[in-house]
Amino acid sequence: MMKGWGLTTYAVLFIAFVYGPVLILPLFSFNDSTFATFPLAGFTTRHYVEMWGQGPMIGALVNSLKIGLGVTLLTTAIAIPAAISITRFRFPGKPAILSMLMLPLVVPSIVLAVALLVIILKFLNIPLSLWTVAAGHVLIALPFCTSVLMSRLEGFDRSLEEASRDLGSPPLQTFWRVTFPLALPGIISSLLLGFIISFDEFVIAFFLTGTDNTLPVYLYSQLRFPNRLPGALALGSLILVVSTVLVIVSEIIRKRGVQSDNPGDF
Amino acid sequence: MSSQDTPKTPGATAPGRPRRDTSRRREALNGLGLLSPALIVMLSMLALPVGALVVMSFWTQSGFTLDTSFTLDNYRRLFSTSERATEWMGMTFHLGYPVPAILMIKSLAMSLMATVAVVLLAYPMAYFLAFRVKRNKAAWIIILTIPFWTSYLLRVFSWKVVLGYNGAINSGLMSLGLIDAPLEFLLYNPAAVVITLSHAWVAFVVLPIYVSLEKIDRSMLEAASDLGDSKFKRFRRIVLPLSMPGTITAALMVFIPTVGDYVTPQLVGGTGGTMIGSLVQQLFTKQNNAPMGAAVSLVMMLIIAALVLTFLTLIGYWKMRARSAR
Amino acid sequence: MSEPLIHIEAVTKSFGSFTALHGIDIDIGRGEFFSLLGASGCGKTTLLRILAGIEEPTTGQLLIDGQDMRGVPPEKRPTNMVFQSYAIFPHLNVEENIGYGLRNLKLSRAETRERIGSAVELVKLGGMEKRNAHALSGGQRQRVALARALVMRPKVLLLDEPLSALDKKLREEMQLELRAMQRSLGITFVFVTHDQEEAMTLSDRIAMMSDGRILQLDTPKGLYERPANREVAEFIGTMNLIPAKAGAAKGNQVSLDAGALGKLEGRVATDVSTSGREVFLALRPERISVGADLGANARLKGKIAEAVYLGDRITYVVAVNGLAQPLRVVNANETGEILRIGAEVEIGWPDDSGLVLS
Repeated sequence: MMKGWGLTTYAVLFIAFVYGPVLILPLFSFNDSTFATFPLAGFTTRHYVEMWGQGPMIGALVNSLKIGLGVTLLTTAIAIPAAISITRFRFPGKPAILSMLMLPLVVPSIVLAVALLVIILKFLNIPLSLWTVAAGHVLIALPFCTSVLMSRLEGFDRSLEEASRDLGSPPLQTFWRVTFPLALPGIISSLLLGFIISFDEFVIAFFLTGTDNTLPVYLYSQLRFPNRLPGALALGSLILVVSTVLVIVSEIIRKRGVQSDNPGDF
Repeated sequence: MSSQDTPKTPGATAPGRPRRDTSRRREALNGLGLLSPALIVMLSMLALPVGALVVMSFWTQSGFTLDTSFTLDNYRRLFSTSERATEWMGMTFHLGYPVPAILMIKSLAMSLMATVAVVLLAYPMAYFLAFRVKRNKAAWIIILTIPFWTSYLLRVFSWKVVLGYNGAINSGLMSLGLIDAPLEFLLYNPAAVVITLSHAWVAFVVLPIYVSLEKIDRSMLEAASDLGDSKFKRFRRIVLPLSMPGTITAALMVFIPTVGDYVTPQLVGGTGGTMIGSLVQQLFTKQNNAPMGAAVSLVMMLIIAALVLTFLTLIGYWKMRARSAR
Repeated sequence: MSEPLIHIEAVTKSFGSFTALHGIDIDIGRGEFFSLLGASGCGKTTLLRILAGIEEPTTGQLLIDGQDMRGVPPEKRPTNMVFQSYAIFPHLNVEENIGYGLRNLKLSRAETRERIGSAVELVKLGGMEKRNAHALSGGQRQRVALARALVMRPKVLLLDEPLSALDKKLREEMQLELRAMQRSLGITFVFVTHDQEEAMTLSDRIAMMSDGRILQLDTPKGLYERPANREVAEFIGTMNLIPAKAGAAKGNQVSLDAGALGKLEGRVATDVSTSGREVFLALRPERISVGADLGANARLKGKIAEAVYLGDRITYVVAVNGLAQPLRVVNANETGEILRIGAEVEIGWPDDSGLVLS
């Protein structure tokens, strides 16, 4: 391989490549111009002020928050027993079931979106609404939340739960006294990530929403109008900040949890 | 789903040996019980909708009326031949309805290029993270995780801003006096789509590749050096083969979804950069031909699945994975 | 044994197509220190987990104190376990770990405190009650695990290789402590180990296991002096095996035809007739004497191939003509003299030392 410094330089360039284009959004969102062009015209926060004044944007934000919250609570509630089952129980057909659970990760979201669209509209005759968006988001968040929880549950010794049973705690009590506190960092992680997935998701929301917009759908609608670009930049930056903060919090909680529970491994 | 794997030992129920192993069945039932909410979600929101999509693909739409009688017309139309030749990229198609086929091939090619680019870009980074970073590893991982979770739409949008006619590159180069007029070839073409896809997905594969590198026992590397391998040889003989299954899995996690991507071609592809996902979207909306849209998306999924399985079989993926699992 | 505390009858355990236990029968008495000994994968831990109720047997019966344990979950069994990994709850401190199970016994607050106190004292962890599980050494974690189980006052304490993670010195110290603790508490201990020396040191009786079967169930002395077969003989200590053909038996003594080595004699442990069969004459290294001239005691001739001086004893590897495997010999160092490598020697052993094994 390359010499040490070569690889380090590569890593720095890589980070620049990954972050660079995305950081263009907040950069231009503070630029005092209607166009996203160099040279920069001067600092302003007016795009944010204008954006904030827009009724539909606030409506879309509220919708996204509601959906994100509902989706992550429901998905995590479903993912906890699923992860426990996969990591702690022996039953036939487990690999097949696990692959099926992870399927939404690889199926192109447009296929998921149109499949849901077809069954909702043509077979069930349910009108599209934020509810149908939320249903689609549960489907795509579930594999993520389940794997986060699984890796957490695999991270601690199974005999801890056996010890609890051995010391007289029935299964449910064992869950609350041992499994839950130890899995808590994973559960928090799952809640945050489930929220981010729903909050950021565009394709499924675009297909399955009725008259109400979510934030990404609203943002997308703004991209068609060149004069709305500054507002879109400001909104995009806002979404970036929200997900970045949540990811960092989630990762720190997860890492801390993992480190402190493997004391004195020998 | 009943558990059939409990061995039925002869004489197990005979007198004097009163026990039958009911515990495994009980455990299996409990396990499946805990999984049932997730299974219900998968069934009602994945299996049934895909089933509905299949059913729909056998219907037909003419104007505003949906004809729900069973017919293979959509598929027949997709594969119908025609005297009329359609030229595309030096290839001649004798198809009655050549658009889906052309877009499919184009999508596969673009997605393949993006996937190769993603893996080539991500592998050295993952290698660096696994073997070179000693301190602050957690911080590096978080830095690489954040892009993974930031909105896909925003990552694509940012390239529109970067590559656009009035975008960052053009205006930057112009303000530096390097060019007089904006470069038009930056945006709205297949290359822009491939670049954007590579960028948007690269963050997804660093961590899986990193995990497969991190799992490699370090003493194995020391052993290879001890037996006379140079650093490069050791990489080729130990690290690369052992990280291959993880890398291939990561590559497929990019390839499969990007073939059907819709956002990227829509935002940065222009007319030249459309992909099959855009067609599906149009069939469902503007063209108001949901049955054909269903047929196109199903054929797309089948082609992807067939290609992936063929590829994995050809390279002996399962054997490879079994070997490096040890 | 009047009435066994634990009665294991025809217990089998299969995991899918793999059979971990084939028809195990054991009775364990009250207050006994009982060990399950065997190499890893022999089924000893599975059997222990069946006693604990973590695994259920596929077939067979298990009674503890006369009660059928079928379908009784681990939390309702009069057993407690010290896990191999210790399974110390990482989110609780020492005191909370030890008191974990007491909450399920619905004791008064005073009694809970008193029991934790005496358990802490028993395992010598005084002053560490509030210490976090992370801050404990391996030995301390082992003590917490022990206290956490003993505080429940189980009828049976199950120990799954509890000393294997400790270094040698600490391990030997804990062996003595465990033995003393077991004697003073009078609780039945079922102890799983792969270390034959540890099993010999601690146990009243040992079940030697291999491939899911019990090879021999005996006292430490019985296992060493009267191994039932070749596998036991080789697992417990060192054993020299001389292949031979069994001839006529006279009481317990069997005459053997050892081919080039001539006629030998050995003792049979059981009444099974060995006449005409291919057998081994088994000899413990410390029962064999070597010397330049053993006179009438000499039985074989050989040559010293290796001599190792160990201070209190000397071990020799002696090549014997007509024997593929050299003999291992351990002699007490009585004179300080050591035989040279290459020296021609005579080999002898007392009449009752040779054991016939099939």
